[in-house]
Amino acid sequence: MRGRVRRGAGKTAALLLGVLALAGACGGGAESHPVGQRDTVTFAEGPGSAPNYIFPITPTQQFTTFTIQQFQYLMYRPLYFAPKGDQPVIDDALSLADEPVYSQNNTVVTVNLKTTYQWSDGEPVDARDVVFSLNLFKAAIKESPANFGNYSPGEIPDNLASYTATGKYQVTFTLTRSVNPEWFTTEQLELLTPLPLAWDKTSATGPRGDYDLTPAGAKQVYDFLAGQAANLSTYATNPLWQVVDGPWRLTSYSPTGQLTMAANPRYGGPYKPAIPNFEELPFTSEAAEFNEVRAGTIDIGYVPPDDFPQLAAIKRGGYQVVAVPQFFIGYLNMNFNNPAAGPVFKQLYLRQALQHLVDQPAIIRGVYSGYAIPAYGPVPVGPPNPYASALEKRGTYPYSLAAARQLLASHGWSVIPGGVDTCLNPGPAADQCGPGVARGAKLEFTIDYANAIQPTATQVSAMKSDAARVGIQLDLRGAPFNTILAQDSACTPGQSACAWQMSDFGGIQMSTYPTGDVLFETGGALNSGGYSDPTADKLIEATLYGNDPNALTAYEDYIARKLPVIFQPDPDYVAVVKSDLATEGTFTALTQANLQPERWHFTS
Amino acid sequence: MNAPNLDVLASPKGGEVRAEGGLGRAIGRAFTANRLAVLGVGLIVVIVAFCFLGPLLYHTDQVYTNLTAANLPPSAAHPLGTDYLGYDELGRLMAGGQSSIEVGLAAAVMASAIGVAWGALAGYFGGVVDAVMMRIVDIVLSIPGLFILLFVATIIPPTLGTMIAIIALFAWLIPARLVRGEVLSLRSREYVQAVRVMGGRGGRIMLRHLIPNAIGVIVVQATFQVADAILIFAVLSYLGFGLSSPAASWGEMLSSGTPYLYDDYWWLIYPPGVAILLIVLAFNFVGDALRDALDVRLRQT
Amino acid sequence: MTSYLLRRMGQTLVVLLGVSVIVFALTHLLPGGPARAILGIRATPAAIAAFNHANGYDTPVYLQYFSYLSSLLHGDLGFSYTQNQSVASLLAQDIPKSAYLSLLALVISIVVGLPLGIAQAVRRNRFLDYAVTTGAFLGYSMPVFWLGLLLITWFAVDLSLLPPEAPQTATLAGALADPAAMVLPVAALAIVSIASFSRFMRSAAIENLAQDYIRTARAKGLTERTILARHLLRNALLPIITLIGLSIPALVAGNLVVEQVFNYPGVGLLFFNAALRRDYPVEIALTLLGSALVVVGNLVADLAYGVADPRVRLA
Repeated sequence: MRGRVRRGAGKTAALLLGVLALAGACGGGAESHPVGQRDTVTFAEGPGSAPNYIFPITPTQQFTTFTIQQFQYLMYRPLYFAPKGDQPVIDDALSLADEPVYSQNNTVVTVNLKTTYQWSDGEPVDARDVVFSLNLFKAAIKESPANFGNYSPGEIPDNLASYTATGKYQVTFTLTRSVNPEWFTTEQLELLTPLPLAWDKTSATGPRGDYDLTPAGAKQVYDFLAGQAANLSTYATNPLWQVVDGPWRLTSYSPTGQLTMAANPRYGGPYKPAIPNFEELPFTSEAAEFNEVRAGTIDIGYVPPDDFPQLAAIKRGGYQVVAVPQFFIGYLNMNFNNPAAGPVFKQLYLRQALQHLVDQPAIIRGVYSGYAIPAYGPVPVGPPNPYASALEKRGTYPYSLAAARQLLASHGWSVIPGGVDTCLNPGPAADQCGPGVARGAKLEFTIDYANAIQPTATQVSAMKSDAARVGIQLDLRGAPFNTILAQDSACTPGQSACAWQMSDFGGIQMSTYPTGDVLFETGGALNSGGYSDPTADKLIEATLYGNDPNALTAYEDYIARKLPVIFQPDPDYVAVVKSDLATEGTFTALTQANLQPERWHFTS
Repeated sequence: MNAPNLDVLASPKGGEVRAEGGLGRAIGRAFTANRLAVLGVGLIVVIVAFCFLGPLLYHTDQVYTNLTAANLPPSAAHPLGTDYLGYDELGRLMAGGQSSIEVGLAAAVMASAIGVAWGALAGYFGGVVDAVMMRIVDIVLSIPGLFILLFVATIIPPTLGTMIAIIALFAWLIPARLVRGEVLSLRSREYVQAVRVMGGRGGRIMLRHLIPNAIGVIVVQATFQVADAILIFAVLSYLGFGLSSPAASWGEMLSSGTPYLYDDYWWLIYPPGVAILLIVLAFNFVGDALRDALDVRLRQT
Repeated sequence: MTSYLLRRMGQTLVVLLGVSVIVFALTHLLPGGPARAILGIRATPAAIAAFNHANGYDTPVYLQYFSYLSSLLHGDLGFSYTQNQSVASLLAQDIPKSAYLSLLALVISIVVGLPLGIAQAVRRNRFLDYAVTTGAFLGYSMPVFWLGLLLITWFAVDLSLLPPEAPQTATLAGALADPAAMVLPVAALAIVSIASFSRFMRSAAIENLAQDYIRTARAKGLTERTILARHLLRNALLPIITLIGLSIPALVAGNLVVEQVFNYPGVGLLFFNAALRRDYPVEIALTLLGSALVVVGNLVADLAYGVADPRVRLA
């Protein structure tokens, strides 16, 4: 799986006053609009997260949903488009290629591009563009692994033995090993965005050529393009970026994130823009954004969890409200390598007890006004998706102080409500504290949490309160989100960086195929707690490289039972849309950062 | 932090000061004659009693959250309602006051102690030592306070102790300057010269003569610094760089009440703000009166 | 005068150098470093190492400092990783907006605060003096963020008279185009400044009124009005100069708290967000800039003081 950290609590946006061109959806006609009709639809960006990188080979620090899905995808379509509406699966209709064909025991993948797409300079989107993008991709990560946000060592492009254009519209990938097709399509091929050959240049004034065909040339091209992308003020004027295959092209861009796009008349996919112009507005905070929603000056915005109680008023103010759970797992991290707490965290019964202390129903009611669903495992149950297992939907360790108390008491701990439990019966037997836990060890942990996110602050406070009732003392330390992120890192017991014990920065936005290679596999990039379990590793490997269609279920059920992290409820994303705006399909796509203004039209 | 700190400018220029019998009484008279000062002291007593004795009479749970009782409006059970975690707001006001007053007093004392030592040493040694030490003061003083405080607060995890240290670390500069000035003027006095000639040790001179002479300036300054420290602590907490729940502070209470401005949860906005205002006001009254009293002493000589 | 100037400039340089050492040490000596906070949780160790290498974080701190200093001397303020922009361009964007906000507040504070202070001095210990003094005490004891929240509650939420936040705009022109949205932020800043300005002016004027030349003027039989106009107001020039000098930092560096409360996209908010994200290049550059302004502001105030008041000798 690949994840994106949720920055802040919510994300999305609002539209300014715009006006409509043609009532029905239909293509192209951006030229003739009756005077007085709205021809711009505007959309609010997430708080403090203006899109700030236009080149699709995006470095780690700019790799956010705001920059990728809500900016780049509008202009440069990925090879495989996900999600489909609000579902975390590939949307075949919006993908540049037909479903890939796997052969030779899943070691060869053939991708056939659709012939309907073309670049706005008139050239077709074809196999050569895919090869070009891969050449640059390889050059980029060779220069620095931080040059592509979702690159994992050993995964694409490292796992490609070769990639060749075997036809004008056909690319054949030969892999270094057999893969699980579902994973490879949704997590590996989805990362590829074909790039126009008009970008095969090493300088702004120089001629274009096939520079990318040699590694040295590819590096030059990549360096040139990355250099151009560092110049934000030229995003809308640089002719390079005007070559697009998506439904939109950039017409103005301010480095603060205020930007406008116009319909690309040569867009070859479904849903031609009905509203000729699209505008995104930046906001410095959720409060600033919500003020615009409250004032009704925005066509499409979002409601932060703090303001859920005001949804009724928002509806009266002329908005339709769309609320769907995010494809997100919220969790509380434990540091298995912390010298003091690590040995205790390694005891399954303790993690079970901690999970029993998360009062999900109360949090959903009190923190999210009901706009959230319980979560007990590594695959979100909502939005409806083909991945969540029956066990996850049922739940493993529900809120129960009695169960938590019983687990501790039966494993040799003195249970002192309001005090601090100590281990009275050390040893590895089933009724003892467990291996590595000494006599007199205390159940006292520090939680570092992101205090600017009120739902997180509330949840850890509630958990502290419940934990105290069974004698687990949780000390809270709030800090800004990025401070938490910086210290929540994998470490070895001797290091000073291993001082953190528990940490809560919200959670992780899951990408399409929710396996656990980076989250829970030994050494995974997101496995900051240092969880290491050979069985889990094997089950995860099977979801990536195995052939068993049930591999994902086996993995998620195992993790849901073993609790490498403490799971927290999965909040809804609440989008608000002006009542006079309609869309092909439903607006619930907005809840999954799936932004397709080409499908919208005004009804009045 | 709100505006340029003008206290320094507005304070009287030190003139010739001579220790004098009955001085304490003169200051006392001038002080009590100032009704604002009396009001200030009264306010401080009331607020301290409210924060530290209040919890003995009014028992609330400030540790266990209760999400089912979150954001309740004032009622008999909760005279000031509850906050987003279900904490009783009145009880929280007391708890928050404790941390605010502790930080304010401790930071002011610490800053004054550092400042007095620094200024006294610089002034006593003079020459290169003085130049270097005072240049360091200039350097730290020219860094915009809130910037550097936020900077440090992002790096050091906030606890009561670190908050005090951080605030004091950037508050000792003014006392250092004032004390140095006093020492410089003292050094040239005949009796100090005389003691020196007679072989008196530096430390003794300082203790015997300097501190009594400078104490007024130091106390006035320290009083204002309590007010400033409480304000800065409130600002840092409000901006999210303060103590963590369940530790309470008035600034944090305001910060967590801010999202509910539109819900009209007035009980989350007014009480902590009024509390900060009153305590800061009280210390400013007292500081101002002390300064006037000192001024009286200056005029008497 | 020239030697004084040279010496002050020298001191200024020393101070700025010292500030840069302090700030640089703060960001670089403490554990963790910016890489993970900037790259995000998904950053692999390889990516972090590459980032540190690319930004020179793997070289000794003193080398990093010298290279920072040398680029600073070449006018390069650094590059914000998270915002993918040079710090200079961020500043160019936000300084005009901050200056606009602070300038408005400063002018209002002077126009209102100084006459109030003079009036108090003249009518010392009368009702007006007490009333204004009480107001001033309230004003400068008031946490400015709370004042901001109250203004929002009253004028935006309850009365719906004014927008609850400052103009959300990238440019100064945008802010100029939306005066209504500036009212509350300017008011919050000005109320607090008026309090301290009037207090300051009051004591300056009282001192002035006690001066010999005023007594002489009185003795000569000049009317109080003439004395006020001729002597007091002229002497009020000094405090005004001082206040302007002291306000220069806020003019450019903005007012962090007010900008945060009202979401005003100025330099203060820029710093606040940078602090939240550990965007060190922005934090360092802004702190240095702020310090430089404090130093320059003090220098300007002192110089102007010397020019305006011949009794103050600059030596």
